[in-house]
Amino acid sequence: MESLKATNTIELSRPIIIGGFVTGLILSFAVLNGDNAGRVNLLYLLLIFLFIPLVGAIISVVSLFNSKGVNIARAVISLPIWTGPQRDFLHKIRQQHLDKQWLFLQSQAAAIAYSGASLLTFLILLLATDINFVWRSTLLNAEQLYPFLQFVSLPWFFWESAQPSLELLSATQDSRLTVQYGDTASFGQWWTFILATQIFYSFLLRGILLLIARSWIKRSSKNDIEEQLSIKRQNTPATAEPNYSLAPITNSLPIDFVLANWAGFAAKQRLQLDLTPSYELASGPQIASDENSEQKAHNVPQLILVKAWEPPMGELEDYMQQGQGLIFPINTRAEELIAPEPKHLIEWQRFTAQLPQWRIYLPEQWKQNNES
Amino acid sequence: MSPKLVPQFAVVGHPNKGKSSIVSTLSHDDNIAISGRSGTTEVATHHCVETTHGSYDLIDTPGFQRPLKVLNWLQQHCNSASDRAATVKTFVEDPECRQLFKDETELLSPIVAGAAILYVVDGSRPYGSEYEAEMEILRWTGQPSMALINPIESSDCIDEWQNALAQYFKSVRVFNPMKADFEKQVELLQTFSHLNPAWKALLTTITDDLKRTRAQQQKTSVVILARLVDDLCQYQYCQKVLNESQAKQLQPALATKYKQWMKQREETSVNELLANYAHHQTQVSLSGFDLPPDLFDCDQWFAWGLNKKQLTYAAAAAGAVGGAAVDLAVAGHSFMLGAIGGGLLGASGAWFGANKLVDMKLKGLPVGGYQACIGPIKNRNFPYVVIGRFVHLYRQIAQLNHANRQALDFNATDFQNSVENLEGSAKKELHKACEKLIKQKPVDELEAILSPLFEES
Repeated sequence: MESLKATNTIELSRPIIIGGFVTGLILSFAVLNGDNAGRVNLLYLLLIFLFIPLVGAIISVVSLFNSKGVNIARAVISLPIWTGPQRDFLHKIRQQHLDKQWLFLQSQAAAIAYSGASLLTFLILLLATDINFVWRSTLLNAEQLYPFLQFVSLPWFFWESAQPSLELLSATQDSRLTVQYGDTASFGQWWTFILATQIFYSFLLRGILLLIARSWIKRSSKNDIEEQLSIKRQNTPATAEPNYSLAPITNSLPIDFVLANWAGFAAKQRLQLDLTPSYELASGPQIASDENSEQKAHNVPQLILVKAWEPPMGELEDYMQQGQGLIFPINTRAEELIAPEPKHLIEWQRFTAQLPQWRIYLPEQWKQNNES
Repeated sequence: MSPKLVPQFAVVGHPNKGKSSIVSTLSHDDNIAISGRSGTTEVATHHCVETTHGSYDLIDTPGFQRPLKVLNWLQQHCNSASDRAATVKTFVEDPECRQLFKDETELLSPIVAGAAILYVVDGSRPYGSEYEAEMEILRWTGQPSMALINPIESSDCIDEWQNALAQYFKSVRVFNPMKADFEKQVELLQTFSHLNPAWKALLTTITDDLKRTRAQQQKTSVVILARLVDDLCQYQYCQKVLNESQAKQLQPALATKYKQWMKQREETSVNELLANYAHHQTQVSLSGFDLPPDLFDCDQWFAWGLNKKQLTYAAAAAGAVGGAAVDLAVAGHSFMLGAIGGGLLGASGAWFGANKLVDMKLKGLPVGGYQACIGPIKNRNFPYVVIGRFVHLYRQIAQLNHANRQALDFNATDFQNSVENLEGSAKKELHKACEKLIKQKPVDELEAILSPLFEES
């Protein structure tokens, strides 16, 4: 069950569209076919092209927002007619709480297909046969029906020829007992009104609802947690630590060397190291500020004692640039001087690798601590 | 918001004392480079921590490299204590100093521009006099400051540091960016308001926002689990085969693919959980599920991949729709017999004719056949295992600090206690939900049912 992309959720289902189209085709043909004389009841047409699409649209909108009652989307999804991939898709949209919206979108597509088929059937029949629009009613007369038709035609107020008129309404009232018709041309004049009804109450209304549903689902899909987290993950690739070259470690000291106690270890502590330098420079980083006079005076390799846990700093680097020798990183435990931890030693090796005239010194007995 | 109103904190100190770690943890950003190598941070970098109603700046800075030389320079260029802040400013702006003391000018620039100072030291190592020069330089800036003792390896030298730092800083706090939980982070942020009272209201708003974000992250974690357990309980892997013996042969390969999918799905949810808490650099390895042995099944399939029951339902529905269309075409004169008859015809045709489809071919392609399937898991304990594992992971990841880049490694025994505890505390709704899940039925309000498991104990 892959995560859904916005494009998957707004895809229209072909079987649903075909279903709507076929229904529209059959219903429209059945109603528009009329009787032997080609008479079609205008009120029936209003039922098919106005009432059913309008009520259908209202029901679909209400069921989309109504959280109580039967969840039609859930009922449809639970039908045991879906194939594996379809089931996975429906399962996913249910997880994303998009099942209602998805069904709403598909129902709009089906309704558009329905109205498209109706329009097509209507236009073909207008071309291929004579449709005579009449209306019959026991209770209503033309004066009573006219305001309703006027109200219905409000959306296309600018379309003059599609507006109903009282005269046309009176002229096309039919009775099954009537056998003689006067002006037969007027019976065909309702076609523009019917066409406008189909376009505005079925095609355009559902088209607008479809566009709204589409953008809603698209936005919801994009804002879905999975999509958001996936974007976050893609935008921040893992970073890798770069490789650095490391200075070699030596376990032997030159015969003649000068000791620089950069770390400032006490004399008592230094005794533990068993070092025999030919000379000892001043202790602490302050030796760097002494214009290096002492360092220059002794032209033999130096052994610099440093605190292993303290990272090498620029001041030491400046000092080392002017000499050569060995760096001796030392760790402490209480007053005892011990071998540096591997992670600290690596840092000193990296630092010393940039200074070719310097190497790392570790006594033989400390070497094992750092062989891993 | 005016830049001056945005609280700014420059995190400064010796190299490798956890400055970037503190910035990373407080800004909840694990993309900030942290390394055991000193000098990782070469320029002062502003990390804007934005919340719904405010923001503040954490400035990660390079460590001091030549504090003694810098202090010497400052002392040589300043005649009066009243000129010290101005001398530091001159130092920062001087082109020669910028070249000679690149790190110091970088780290002092935001402080000179008005940022408060957060001075970081390592509380696991003894205090040394070499730190005095840099603390003195910071004192010269005259900016509000606070010292943070970061016990990187231990708390052995905290007292020693507190005594030393108290001489230079009014406020000294202990803060471990690797272990400080969310409450401690918020608490520290609140103490920052002592550095500049004008920032107090904004920092309070920001901490409130952070608490809300934290609650939202918890809700998102619940959604991730709800989808995971739903997917894992639902999943079935099928493959079409020619006959039953071929299906048997395929069983081990199918089982492997099934397990792979289950593992990958769980890993995806763990990655989502990590992304939810903005952990992009953390690697997690976890052991796979122990799957029950009775997951294999071989069934017949027919047109469009439906099984016999599905095909019957589909044919009944199609027949009924077709019949209804006929009813409509004859304007209801058929008394709905079209729909009823169509439905019955479709259903019976599919039920009795389905077996023949297995051997039929359409344009050379089979219309029916057999399929070997693995899953879904029907073991009652399975949802609890999934939930237990995830909740255990959630607790680790939600508490993981962004400075901590170590890989998380979980094995089966880690989850054991978590699953046992879960069963003890599970509510009736959870039992009902798990019952439905193993029957592959949708569970309404699954997120609400799982939510109590995520509440902090």
